[in-house]
Amino acid sequence: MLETCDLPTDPGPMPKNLINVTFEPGLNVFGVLRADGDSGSSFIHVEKALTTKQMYEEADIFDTTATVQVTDSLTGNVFMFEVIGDTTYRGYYFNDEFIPESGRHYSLEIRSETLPSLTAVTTVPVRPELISNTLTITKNQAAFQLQAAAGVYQYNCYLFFGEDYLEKQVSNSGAGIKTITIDISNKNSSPTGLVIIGYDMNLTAYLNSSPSFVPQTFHEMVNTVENGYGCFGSLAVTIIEL
Amino acid sequence: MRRLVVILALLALSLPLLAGNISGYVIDQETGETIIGVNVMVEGNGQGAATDVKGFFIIRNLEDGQHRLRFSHIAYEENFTDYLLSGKDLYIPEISMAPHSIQTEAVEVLGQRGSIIQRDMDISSFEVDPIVLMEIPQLSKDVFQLMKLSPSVTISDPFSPQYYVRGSDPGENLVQLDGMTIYNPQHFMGSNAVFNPYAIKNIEMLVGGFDAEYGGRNSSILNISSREGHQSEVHGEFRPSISGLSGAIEFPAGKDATAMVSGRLLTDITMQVMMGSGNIMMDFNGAYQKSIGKTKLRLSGFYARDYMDYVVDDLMIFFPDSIFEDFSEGFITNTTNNALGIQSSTVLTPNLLFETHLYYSGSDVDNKTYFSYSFEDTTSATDVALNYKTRIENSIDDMTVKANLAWFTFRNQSVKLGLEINRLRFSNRLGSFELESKRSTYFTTFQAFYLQDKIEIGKLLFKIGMRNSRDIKSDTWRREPRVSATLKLMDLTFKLAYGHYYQYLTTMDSKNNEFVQFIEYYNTLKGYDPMHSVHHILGIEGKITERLDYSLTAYYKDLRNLYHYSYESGGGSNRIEQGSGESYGFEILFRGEIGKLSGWVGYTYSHGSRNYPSVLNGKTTLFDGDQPHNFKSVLLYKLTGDITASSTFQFASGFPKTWETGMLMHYYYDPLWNGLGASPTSITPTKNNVRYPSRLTWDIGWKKKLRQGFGYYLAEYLGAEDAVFFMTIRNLLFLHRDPQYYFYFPEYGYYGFDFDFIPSISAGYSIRF
Repeated sequence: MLETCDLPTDPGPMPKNLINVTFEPGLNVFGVLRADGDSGSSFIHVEKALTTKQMYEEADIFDTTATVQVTDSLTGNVFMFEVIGDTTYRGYYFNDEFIPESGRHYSLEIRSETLPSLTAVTTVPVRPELISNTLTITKNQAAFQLQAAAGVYQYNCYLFFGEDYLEKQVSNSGAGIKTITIDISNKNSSPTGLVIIGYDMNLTAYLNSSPSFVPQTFHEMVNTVENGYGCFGSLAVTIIEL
Repeated sequence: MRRLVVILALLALSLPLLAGNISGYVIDQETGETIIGVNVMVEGNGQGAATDVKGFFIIRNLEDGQHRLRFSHIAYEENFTDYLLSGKDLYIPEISMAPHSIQTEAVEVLGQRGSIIQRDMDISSFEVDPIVLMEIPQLSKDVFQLMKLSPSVTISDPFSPQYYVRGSDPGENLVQLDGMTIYNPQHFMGSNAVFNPYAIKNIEMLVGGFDAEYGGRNSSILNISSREGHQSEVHGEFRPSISGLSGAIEFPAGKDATAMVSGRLLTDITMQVMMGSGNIMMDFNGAYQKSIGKTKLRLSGFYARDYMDYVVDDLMIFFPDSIFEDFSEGFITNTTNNALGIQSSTVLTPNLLFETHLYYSGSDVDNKTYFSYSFEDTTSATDVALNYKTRIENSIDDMTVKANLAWFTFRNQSVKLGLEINRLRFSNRLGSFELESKRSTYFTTFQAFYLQDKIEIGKLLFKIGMRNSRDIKSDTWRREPRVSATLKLMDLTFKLAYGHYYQYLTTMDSKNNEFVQFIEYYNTLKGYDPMHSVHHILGIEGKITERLDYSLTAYYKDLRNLYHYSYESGGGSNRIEQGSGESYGFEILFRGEIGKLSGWVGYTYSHGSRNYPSVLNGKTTLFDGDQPHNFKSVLLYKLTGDITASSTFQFASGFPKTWETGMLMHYYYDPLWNGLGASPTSITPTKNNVRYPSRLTWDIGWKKKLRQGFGYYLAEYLGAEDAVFFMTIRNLLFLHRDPQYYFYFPEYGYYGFDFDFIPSISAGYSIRF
């Protein structure tokens, strides 16, 4: 018993290994194809997974050898994404002319000189559609109906009051009509705009997953990519001025 | 089932009929409370019986004529009474016994038992005298702290109230108060049981091989019985402390009626003042018992409430502003447990007992956990941030009807026939704060009926039972055969048991998302087969001396159907995952008294594993409560008539944990501004791939009956019977680190954090009247 005593300044007894597991190096990405009518708003952010020691002792998390391309499965068109000069956007890859189209299927491929190539796919959701004449605003509540679409797994609704907004997230499981209500009883002014964003399955799964910050606890990671880590997904945006 | 009924009927017809059964209830002459474990012997012919948990006994197949019955119990004066049988059975509603202060070398008052712990009745059960909760102050008068010192129990987190019994999961344990299921029987934070120790009459834990009468859970049954009241005076106990009040009172409540009310109201002042965290914990229970002719009626009620708004933000004033742009951490919890029920026990004839029970029990939980921080990294477009918010709303409502008929047929046989119907409502909503996931509400009914037969043939006690159960929505009846046998040979008792168990609901594992899981979150198994496990148990018991005995038990559990339900699965029943597992082990227990020393010492070797398809593609992994070696001791030493010292010691293998192989950034996306945030998270490709270091825990306690001083005079002024001072020293082995987590520090490496890194001393005072 005395032999196992440790002072508070000591690291303490270490766990005993039961199963040997090794670190699997790979790319870690977050890519969004954004169907908002603008070109250049989609991006792919690329980093690396690291060992614990590397992460805490600040090894370089970026892979400067990576090449990123997105392919339209219907047309076969290949869109190369490039880094830009501004170091603030380190790890970000853009294509200024790329506009994703709703309903289209895209595949991502990232090649690296040092790490396994990463692939992923997504189908861009249809733009959220507000059903006409369903938007009603009272003193306490704003309500409207959406034409929910299959292929959209979550709707994020933002009701703006000038620069301020209220947010509502609603999960979706298929086509149909969805009624959304937002409590505005603590607002003193009328809403000025409504933004509705529909997520595909990949973004819905990834953004609703919880990164575990509980140490030494098994957690299943949500990865929507192959041969790497992270998420490649798409969303569609509808903006309505009120 | 039909075959079983035919066999029983043939047995009944084949045995010679003898008139004359004597049955009744044995009660404490002063309080009127029924007495458990009274030995009832017929002088001259060696027949005997013992009173059960309700104080009922029956002696069967006596010839007509005069019989002298001897009633004996270590804490009561022996009682000899003559009864005349003439052609019909005899029922005696109350046989009184006068209590006396028994002086063994080891313990002054043993309450209702002959020892503080005994293993009898069913194959794998033990009963603990609740007086242990008072005699051992380091248990904090908590039933769960006590249960964790049982050789059959392991844990995976010392701060969590969850416990694993012989390798099964926490959600497979049933906790009952006066026969009513309590769905969340622990307070949030501190994880103490919701049962006021002053109100407890009996604690019984069945850890396997239980009769067909028990169902609905596959692993263990913890039965808490509350006190019945005092028939002639007002008695009670009261304990003030800095954190609140607790106490109980028993009193006569009319003709042939008694009542008991207890309650606790506690708050953590340190949290209120230091952190502005409002918190309150309370529990109340009451019982009213009345005898009407041959019927005993009992009304029981229970309410517990926890509220805590734990906020760390206020502590940030001690840190420089520049560290975080934004920081927020805390949790808000609201939990309520309540139950109300009425039981009746009617002696239809001296050998026919009919019991009914109707109750409502409900649990309602609303837990929000949040942890978010961000700081702007001006060198990057990606802010470093963590935005973690979970909300778990879970409620269960249970309306249950139970009825059983116990027929003490002949000298050596008794049969119990019963049914149980539970009407349940499950309601769940999981998600983050803003995500309005749909609340799922589901109604169903569980049904069960059972037949349990107990036969004594010489030194062999044989029990055979069959429980049939189902979830009404699935329309499939499941058979749960239960068989056990006990054979006494010379001074040894051999036991074996075999049984099938089905469970129709599951609970969520939220350990990945809550640092400590305090609450059970229930969900239906709609659309799934029930959980199914098969128990095999073998045991041997013997005596070393008159007051010291030992037992060895080996078990194997085939966990054929298990379910993994986690927060990540979104809470929908279609995301519950089916798996399997197994567990096995052996337990050695010594219990009793040696001179002035009493208590128990136990060693267990155990092992358990699980398989789930989504976890490493179905690979077998250790289960979270796997602790191969466990040594536990609970000892009391009577220094003088007024002073008792106690020690609780545990050595246990470390918990299996998952050691991360690497780290990466998890991303947070703001779709409005098309902006990205990220926080580091670990990569865990394998579950439970390391074992933490062994754990050593040693606490000591001191209890002294006051004979002078302020406390004594205060009690005298208040008219109390006595006043007690108690003190505990916890964590004596504080230099032995029991890491709870390991954190990595640059240029240092991993450091094992133990939240109990210094010993603590506490003291208290209570008065009894």
